[in-house]
Formats: sequence, C-alpha cells, structure tokens
Amino acid sequence: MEVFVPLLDGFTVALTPLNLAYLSAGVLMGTVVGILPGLGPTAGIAILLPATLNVEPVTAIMMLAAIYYGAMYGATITAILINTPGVPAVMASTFDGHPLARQGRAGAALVMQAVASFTGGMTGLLLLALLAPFATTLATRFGPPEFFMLSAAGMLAIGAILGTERRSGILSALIGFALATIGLDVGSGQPRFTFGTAELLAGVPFIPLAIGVFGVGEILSATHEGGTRETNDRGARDSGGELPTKDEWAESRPAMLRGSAIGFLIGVVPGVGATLASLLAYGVEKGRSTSPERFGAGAMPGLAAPEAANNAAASGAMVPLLMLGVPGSAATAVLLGALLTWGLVPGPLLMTENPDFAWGLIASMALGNVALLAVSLGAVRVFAKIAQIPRGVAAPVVIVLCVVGAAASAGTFGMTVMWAGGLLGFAMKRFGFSTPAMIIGFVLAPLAEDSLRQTLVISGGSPAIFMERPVALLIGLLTLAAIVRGPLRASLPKGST
Amino acid sequence: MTRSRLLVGLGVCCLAYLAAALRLPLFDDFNVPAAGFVPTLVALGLVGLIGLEIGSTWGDRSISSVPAGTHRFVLEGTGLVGTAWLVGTVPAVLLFLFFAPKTLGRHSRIERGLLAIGLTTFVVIVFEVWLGVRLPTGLWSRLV
Amino acid sequence: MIPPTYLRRLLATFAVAGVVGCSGETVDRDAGAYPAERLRWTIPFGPGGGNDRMARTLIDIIDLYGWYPEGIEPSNRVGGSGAQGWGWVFARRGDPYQITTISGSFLTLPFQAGVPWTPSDFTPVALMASDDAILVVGSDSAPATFEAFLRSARDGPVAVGGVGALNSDVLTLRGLAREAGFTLRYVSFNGFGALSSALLSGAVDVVVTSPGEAIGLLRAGTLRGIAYAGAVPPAWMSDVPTFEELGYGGVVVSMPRGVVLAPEVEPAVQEWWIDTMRRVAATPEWATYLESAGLRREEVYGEEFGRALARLGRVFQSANEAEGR
Repeated sequence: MEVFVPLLDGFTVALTPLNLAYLSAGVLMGTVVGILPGLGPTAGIAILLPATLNVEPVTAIMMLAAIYYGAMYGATITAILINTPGVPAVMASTFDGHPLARQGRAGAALVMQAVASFTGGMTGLLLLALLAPFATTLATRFGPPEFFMLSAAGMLAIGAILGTERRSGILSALIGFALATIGLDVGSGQPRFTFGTAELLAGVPFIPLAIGVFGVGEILSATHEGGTRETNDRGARDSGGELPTKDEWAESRPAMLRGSAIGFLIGVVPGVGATLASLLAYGVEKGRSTSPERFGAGAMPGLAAPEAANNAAASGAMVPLLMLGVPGSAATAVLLGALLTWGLVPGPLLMTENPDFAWGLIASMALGNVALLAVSLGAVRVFAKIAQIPRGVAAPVVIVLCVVGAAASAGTFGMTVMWAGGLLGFAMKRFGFSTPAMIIGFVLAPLAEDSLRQTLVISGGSPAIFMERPVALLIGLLTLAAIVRGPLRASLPKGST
Repeated sequence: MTRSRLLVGLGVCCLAYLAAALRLPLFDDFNVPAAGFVPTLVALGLVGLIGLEIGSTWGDRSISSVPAGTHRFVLEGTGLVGTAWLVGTVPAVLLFLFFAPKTLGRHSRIERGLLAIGLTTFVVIVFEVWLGVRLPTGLWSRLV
Repeated sequence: MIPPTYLRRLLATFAVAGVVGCSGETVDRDAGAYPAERLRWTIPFGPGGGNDRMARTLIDIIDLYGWYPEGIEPSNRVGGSGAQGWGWVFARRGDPYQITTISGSFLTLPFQAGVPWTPSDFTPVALMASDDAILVVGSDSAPATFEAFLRSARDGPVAVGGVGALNSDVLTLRGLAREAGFTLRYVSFNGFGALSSALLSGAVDVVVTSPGEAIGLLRAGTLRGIAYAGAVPPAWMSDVPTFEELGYGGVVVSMPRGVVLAPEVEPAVQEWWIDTMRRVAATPEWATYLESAGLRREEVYGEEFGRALARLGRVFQSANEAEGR
C-alpha cells in the first residue's frame, strides 16, 4: 500500500545507531522521572530538554518522544503500585490497577498495562498513518459546544465508577467541582474564592492534590485497616512474577482495541486529550461488561482499556499538532516549541514541506513503543517486588516520595495542598465517599464550565446551539443513550444477562 | 470522629461556599452565565445533597473513631510537612524516616537509620542534583 | 557530538543507579556568584501561544550561548488572562531565580481583576518586542473582508473570540466597536488551541489573535487575516490591510512583550539580566524569531522599561474607564 511508503522512509530516517541510542536513553530517563510522583511527562521533557539541544532535530524529537513515553509508563507504575497518578491521564489506571496490586497481582497488572499501552500506541500510530487527512477534518469540528458535550460525556465516567452509593458519589464529584472553581475565572478574569491570596489565584494545583487524595489517602486508610501491625498476606509475597490468566487476556483484548479507537478519536480533538479518553474508555468498558461489579475491584479490562486509550490518544494528539499547528496538551506544546526552534512550522504545509521529518517522528514513536514494551516487560519483576515491601517501611517511604513530589511541583504550598488532600482523601474513603469521583469532577469542571459559558456567549444565551451543530448533537445523544441504558439494564431481571 | 460530624463540618463549609458564590455576578451584560453561575449551582447541589445525607444517616455510629496507631501516623505525617515548612525538606524527611517506621512495625534503630540516610540521599541526588529541582528549604533558611 | 550537559546528566543517572559515586557535583557552585541555581521561567499562558513561544525562544537562545549554565525550567501556569502565572511570580518576592515574560494583560489585570499586584511591583528587565493584533477569519466563513465583517457586525452582535478576558486585543476590539459603531460580543478562551478549534469549527466566525500564533494556518491559507493592527505586516502576509489603512489606526493598543523578575530582586541580579537580554536581542536567532513570529522589534531596558510599563498601564486604565466597566 502506498500510504506506507512515506512511513517506511520515516523508518529509514529514524533507524540509525545514534538515534536508537538516544531513544533508549530517553525511555530510561523518562521512566525514572515518571515513577517519582510529582514530575509528569511535561516536567520530564522540560527538564531533560537541554540534553537534546545540540543534536539533529530528528534525533532530538525521537529522544523527546521517548522521554514522554517513558514518563507516561513510569507514571502508570506509580499509579498501579501506590495508587498515585502523577498525571491526570493515568488516573483511570488506578481504578482497577491498584486493586490488582493490593491483591498481590502487581506483576500481572504491569504485564497487562505494558501490553495494553503498546497496543494502544501502535494502533494509534497506524490510525494516524492511515487516517491523518480524515482525522484533521474531525479535529476541525470541535468548538465550545462540542467540548461541553464531551465534558458531559466524561462526567458519565463518574457514574460508571460509582457503585450503589450514588448520592455520596455525586456529592464527592461536586466537592471536586467546588475545588476546581477556586482561582481566576477564565471567562471574566475575576478571582474566585481565593481569600486574596496569590497562591490560590492559580487554583488548586492538580499534581499535589492527586498525590494527596489518592496516594496519601490510600496509605492512611491501608494503615488504618491493617491496624498498626504489618499484615502483608503471604499470597502477595509469592506471586510477584505472575501473569494475567488466559481468560483475562481474552476479555482484555477487545477492551484494548475499543480503548485504542476511543483514545485515538478523542486524542485528535485539540485540548481534550488523554485524560478524557481514558475515562471514557473505562466508562464504556464498564458499561459493556456483563459483570460490571468487578470493575474497581481489580478487573483486567478496566486497566487495559484506559491504558490503551491514553497511549492511542498520544498518537491522536499528533494530528492537530502536525497538521494544524495546534498543540492539544502541555506535552505536545513542548514538542511544538521544539519544532519551531528548529525552524519547522507545523501546520497544513508541514506534511508537504517536511515529509521526512513528520514521518520520521511517527516512525520514531513506533520505535519508542517497541523500546518501552521491552523495558517494561523486562522490569515487571523488579517493580512487582516493590509491592511486597513490608508496610512499616513502604508507607513512610511513599509518604516521603509524595511530600517531595508535591514540593518539587509546587513548593511548600504544594506540600500543604498535598497533605490536606491526603487527610480529605482518607476521611472520604473512610466514610463511604468516592475519591475518584471527586478528582474526575475536579479535572472536568473547568472544561465544562468554560465551554458552557463560551457556547452561551456565542449563541447569545440560547441553548438551541447544541441542537444546531451536528457533532455536538451526536455526542449529546450518545451520552443520553448511555445514561438511559444503565437503568434499563438494571431494571431487567437478574438472570437475563 | 463520626460520619455525621464530618457531614456537618462539610455542610458548614458548603454554606460558606454558597455565600461566597452568591456574591459573584450570576449573569453578565448579555444575560449569559457569568463567574457566579456554576459555583452557585454547585453550592446548591452540595448543600442539598449534604442535607439529604445528614437526614438519612444521622446518628449512624457504625463507623467509630480512628484508632490510635493511625492517629499517630497522621500526626507524624503532619509533623513531616510542618518540619519541611520550618527547617526544610531534607532534614524533615530524615527525621520522619527515622521515627515513622516505628509506629507501623518493629524495626531496629539501625534499620531505621539506614533507611533514613539511604532514602534522603536518594532524594537529594535525584531531585536536587540530577533534575535540578529546588526543594523547599523552609522558613529557617530565610532567617539565616 | 554529545553535549556536555548530557554527559553530566548521564553521569548523574549512573550515580543514582549506584554504579559510580556522586562526583563532586556541587564543587562548581560558588557561594556569592549569580546564577547559582536552576531558574524557574513562569509562562502565564497556554503552551504554544505567543508568550509561551517567546519565553521558550529566549530560553533556547540563552541555553544555546550557554549564558545560564545552571539551566532554565519553563513552566506554564495558565489561567485568568495570565494572572495565575504572574501571581505565582509575585508571591516569590526577592527570589532571584523567578522570571516571567509579560503580555498586554500584565497591565490590565491590576485594575480589572483585583489582583494583589501592579506592574511596578516586579523588577523590570527589558521590553523586547511589541505584538500587534490581527483579526482572523476561517477561509470559507461569511465575512471575507474587513468591510464585510463590519457590515454583519452592524446588523447584529457578532461573537469575536480571543485569548484572555482583558488584554490589549480586547481593548483594540472595544475601540473598534466604538469607532465603527457595532456591539461587541467577546468570547474569552484559555489558549490558542481552544481558540483556533472554535474558529475552525465555525463556532465563531472571527477571532483576534497575534500573527505569530496562527502562522502555520495563515501561511497555508486555512485561516485568513482581514485586518492587522501593526504598521507594516510581516512579508508572508503582506496582502492583509492594516487598521491604519482601513481608517481605524486610532483604536490600536499594542501588546508589550518583555521580561520581568520577581519583586524586590537585588539590583545586581537585575543588571545581570539586562545585560543578558541586550546580548540576546543582538543575536541573529532573535532577529529570525521576530520575523517569523510577526513581532515588531522594540527594546527598552531596566527602570526606563518600568516607567514605560507604568505609562502604558495608565493608557490601558483610561481606555478601560472610558468603556465604563
């Protein structure tokens, strides 16, 4: 097929010993940075950027992409092992990934995660190579009304992760919403709920909050449930190298493919990206599952789908970046900055003016995926062992890493937010509230509020605009269908599923 | 602490939030939702749900107070953050790692000392040296 | 050729792995000398935007010539027309390792959003360029020319998008609305990414932005400029009429692009940065950047820059009061 000719050219550009050396170094450095809670891919790329300054653009961009992949992988390890998502995009991976680790199946979870990431990344790149022109058209269909509908669909994920405790779950999400309104309002430039402090002008920072609510909250409630004695069960100690079972592979394979497709499509939309993609993939998987009650308690598809989705979204994000010059996330923006430094202007002309570079980048992302799969499968045993450190040692160590990570990302203010978040997370978990619902609310609230107000300014206050735009209408109808489907299903007699 | 008390505390916070939200403009010149619109909705939702929650679960004492061990660990963690504020992250981490493992299990002084020194060194090398991140040095360093 | 910074980092990596010991990493850091620490460069706008690109270009040039060997870490603190980022830097009073790039809203925020600082609180370093707004339409949308835009705007309110709620672009637009006699319905976005998607999707027909942000889309003809606020448009968009030519030269408010340090930074550090910025402005890389980003060269340093900022702030304020808000 002739579409693959430029891609093959891309591989010949990418496959040199020097490039591969930089690629491997990038994956390793990225992984180390990503594992530490508090420094996500964006900080990782920014910090490690100087290392790439004096080499050829293709080599440099390969290394940057590798750092990005490595850091995302590292962040997932932390999410699974200690329930601490250092980036919003891996938040959904904690829902089932961490329960697996607690059951002593960290090894199996990490293997599944590695394979799902690889599948998602590669599927995303394949779709990118095949569908870039179509995807570009898709990317130009999203304005504020569509963003609002997407954020509403994302909120469904809150419904999906809640069990029977609907009311306290919605309450949790609203707490997240309320926290997100702290800071300066985009629409009016007015400060809200800042008590006149400069720190709160920037809003409550995500990284320290997530580290606190998830990481510290988890440690505190585990300490609490286990009493003060160390009661690591034997099972956890003996099963570090375990693999997912045959059944788990079978049910996760379609989940990965669906996750990849969702991830790519959402990733293409500029500015929404991997977080929403992974949440939606999780929600879809749970909605489709015949045994949704296993989700949140260590279901493999619940880990495979969001992992595939966030990696496919990273590929999808290349569409607006390369074809339109519009960065969809902080990490792609750093790439954009790098491109501009080298005199390459991303936009509709890039593919025709610098095809070598564009395809070289795509090929290098594929190579990055391969390198990462090798690294991660090789390292599973090492990381699975971490899950077996006795709690008397592990809990203080994790607390320290959380404090240091929060401090690295937002100074003493970050530490304070982190610790307050930790206590809040502990209290919420203890009294039957949902911390994931709260953080999802926190992440989606700004997108929902800004896009709603933008839409209504454009339409002069009329909500009819949502009906007039086909894409917004379509997303709205799909969301509505998903809402209606849940109760319908629940009302069916038990035996019929 | 009981669940009801937590809910009452949360309810008070939410009422304060509602009061603050109502001071922001609800609509702008074009009759379009302004800065106060979403916060007001959120606050009303919160207050309503907390009311329902309190009404239906009041007096449920099935979940009792936090046992002493967790209490101590929480205090130690708060101490860690507090010490980091005062004398800097690195000394705070060192102290915390020496004392905290004792709360959660039996670990000898040598074990804890090695852990404290080892992890602190790791943190300094990775964050300060390799990544060049400046960890907070605390109020104390500003006085000097 | 592997750069020395890379080798150092690689060495440090090995040190972490415990293969070799830490080899005197702190020896080269003299006590009293500036700089002795990594610099935090706060970018108060979304990645990929004009402010972001200028900051990253400055950082790259400084890195390229090795003028700041301790390394610079750019960090985007986005939101509220830039107030979040500058609020962060403001809170780091006296810290010589906090620097930020300013844009137009740096001057408008103090009186419009009740932020706790004024531009005079910061330590002025240099005005490096001026950024002039451009009105942009999607290529197949209704108002194909400035005249057509005015006609449709006079018929009924037209939504015009832009980045930030209160800045020089908005003031230019308001001035235009007043002079040309139409009602402006302004839509504030958080960054160029969201703004350009809104325009490409047809949710808004017209946006105000700076030419540098939309360069890829403008050059390809996906978007078209209908009016440019500067005196002479960059070569690659010479066919776009200027506000002056269209008879609205008086409404233009330009956006200052410059660099300030945290408040109350020592004069020696300020001098160090003025000197460095002078050197940056003289590099060929900077000239290339100005051309490609569609910026006008304008250099003002130190206290003189501080006074210019205060003066411009008053212009903004009186323009704002005239608007009656």
